[in-house]
Amino acid sequence: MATVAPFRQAAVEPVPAATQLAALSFVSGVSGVLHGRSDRFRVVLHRVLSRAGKSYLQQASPYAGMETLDHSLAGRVLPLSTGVVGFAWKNGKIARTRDLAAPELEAALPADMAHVGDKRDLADVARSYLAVPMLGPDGQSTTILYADTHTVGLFADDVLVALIASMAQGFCTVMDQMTTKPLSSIQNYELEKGAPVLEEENVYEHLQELVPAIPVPRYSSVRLLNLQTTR
Amino acid sequence: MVPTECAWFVWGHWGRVAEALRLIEDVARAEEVLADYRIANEVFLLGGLSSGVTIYKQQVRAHNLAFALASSSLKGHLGSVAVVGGGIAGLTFAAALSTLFPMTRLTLFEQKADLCPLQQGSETRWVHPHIYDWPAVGSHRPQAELPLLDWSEETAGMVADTVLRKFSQLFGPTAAIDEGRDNTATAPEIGTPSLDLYTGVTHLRIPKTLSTVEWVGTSSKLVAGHVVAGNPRGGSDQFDAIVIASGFGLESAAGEFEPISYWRNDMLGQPVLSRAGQAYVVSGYGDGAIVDLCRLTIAGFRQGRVLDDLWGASLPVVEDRLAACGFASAATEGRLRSLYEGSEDLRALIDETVATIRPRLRRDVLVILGMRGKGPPNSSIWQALGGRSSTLNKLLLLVLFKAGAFVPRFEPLDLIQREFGISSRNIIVRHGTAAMKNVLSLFEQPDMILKILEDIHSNDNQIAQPLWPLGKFAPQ
Repeated sequence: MATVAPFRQAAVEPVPAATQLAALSFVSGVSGVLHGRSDRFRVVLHRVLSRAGKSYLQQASPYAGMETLDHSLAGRVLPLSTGVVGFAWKNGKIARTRDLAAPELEAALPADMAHVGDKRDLADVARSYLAVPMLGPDGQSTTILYADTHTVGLFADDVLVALIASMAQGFCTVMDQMTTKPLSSIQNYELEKGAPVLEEENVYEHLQELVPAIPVPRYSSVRLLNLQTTR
Repeated sequence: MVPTECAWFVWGHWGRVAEALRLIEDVARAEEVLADYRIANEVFLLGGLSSGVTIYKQQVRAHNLAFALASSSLKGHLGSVAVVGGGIAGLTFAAALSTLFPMTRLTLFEQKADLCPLQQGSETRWVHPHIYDWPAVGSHRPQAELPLLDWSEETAGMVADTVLRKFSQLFGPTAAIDEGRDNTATAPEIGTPSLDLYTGVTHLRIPKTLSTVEWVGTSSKLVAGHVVAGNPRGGSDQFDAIVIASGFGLESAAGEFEPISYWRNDMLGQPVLSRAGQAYVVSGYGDGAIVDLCRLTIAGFRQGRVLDDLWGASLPVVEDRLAACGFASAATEGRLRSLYEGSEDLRALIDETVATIRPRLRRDVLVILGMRGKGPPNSSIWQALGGRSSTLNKLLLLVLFKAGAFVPRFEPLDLIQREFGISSRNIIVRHGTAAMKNVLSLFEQPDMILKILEDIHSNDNQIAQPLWPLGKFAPQ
């Protein structure tokens, strides 16, 4: 059994405005797909952040899908092993919440939360999660799309997950194209990837699963997403 | 205790232990950092004697020092802190400390009448936060990516403007009230850090107790990034810590030749308008000298753009070729001559670059580069290429030498002047700053701290990499 890492308030580090805007544009498109399927969801893009020889997960923008944009959440830095995103990062595969009926899910959720030391009020906890890793040319995640919803079973729908993965692939392709044909005033500036910072895994181990059947989006050239404005 | 409760107890206990371990780790790291900055018990020097002093690196050091003070054993005793120097380093330190300790009374002393006096209005200098790390991955990125007082590549004047505006936002519009004299000021909002600001400081001494600052200056306040001067006054106050963030702005003279500050606006980068060409001597071979050499020899030279100008889309390939031959490490270790002589590909690359740069070489100026040096006189360009300038500037110096873009000379400056009949106003002295002398002049008994300053200079341990834990400073 995994030793439990305590949940603690995440640190915040700057994210370049151009990176935030690109991430927000992408997740707003994904949120458009989820509208009508759920009335309570959030979508955000995480990027792998490199700082002083170490690599972390960093929330690249505010969440889309919420009533207001909360800019204070952009830039949150987390260990690469965090939750379902860390599960997807570690395996390089799409991860999501299993296809469980509501009673079964409601019965299993408290135990999984307790197992990882998650003390949140059950009413605040999403019921379906999705993490779509977007792999770089080195086979490691460059970015990871994260979504959660209170609609039970939403991401158990293979058609929906495949659609979102396809959108993520479109984002990867355009970002690759931007490296060869950048905008005159915005470019992607890569950094050396550092050693991954990992803490104890805290994915809900009985509720989340990998989805090996759906192709993982890939960048052909982008190893680190770091768009900045130039002069 | 039932198993579930037992597990919660263990988990909760583990969490507290983990947090305590993190704090202990922070304290240990903080004490190590402080040791590299400490002149005396509570007196610290911020970067002035380090190698590779750039705006960005000084700001990183400022964040590091603030983190270290805030996490060290001194943290409970920081009621009042003096910052000597109102340049970008001093402002960044003040900003960083104030976000960690908003209740600390900060007093900032600046010798000139304004803050960031070197860079304000400097429109002929282009500054880039990371270019001196080239060819390291990421050294092209234009944004400093600092939590506080962040900026992107720009003219030095615009960078100073950005820094001042962000500094002003932190301290609010009514900082540094001149006690009892300025009735127009309103009280700062609760929670806004306070700052006592003295500009135009004509006298500043740190007496031998090393805990007091004695000064004469003008009590000033900061409004929307601009200093508003009040009345002059003198004082002598005791502080819990004193941080010296000055000393690196003023440059050394070369005998009778007085330097004009690197940051003053000039016309070196502009085409000569008179029919007769002009001759210039640049004396020195550090980064400042090489940048001025480039401005005088390359038409339209801009530091932040030169890599793209030279190699364009081929830049990644060029960087790979330089990496393959070990150019950066040879430049750092003073082995460029043997590398150049032994590497056919490096010679080919330099020749290709010479061909690219040749059409852009200026024809309206004759440029002599005086590379005599401070110690035993140099006699070869390779000795200058073994100096402490950046890898980029060494490469540019080598390319310009191979292109015949300047006349290398090793005689004393006055002989060069006579030989070429050059006007004194066309002699550009770039011999670095007199940082040691400037710092020592702040102390009543400089011999008390001479040895430690020499150690700080030779150890060069104030590394310019972020050492603060993630999230220590909330992004501004």
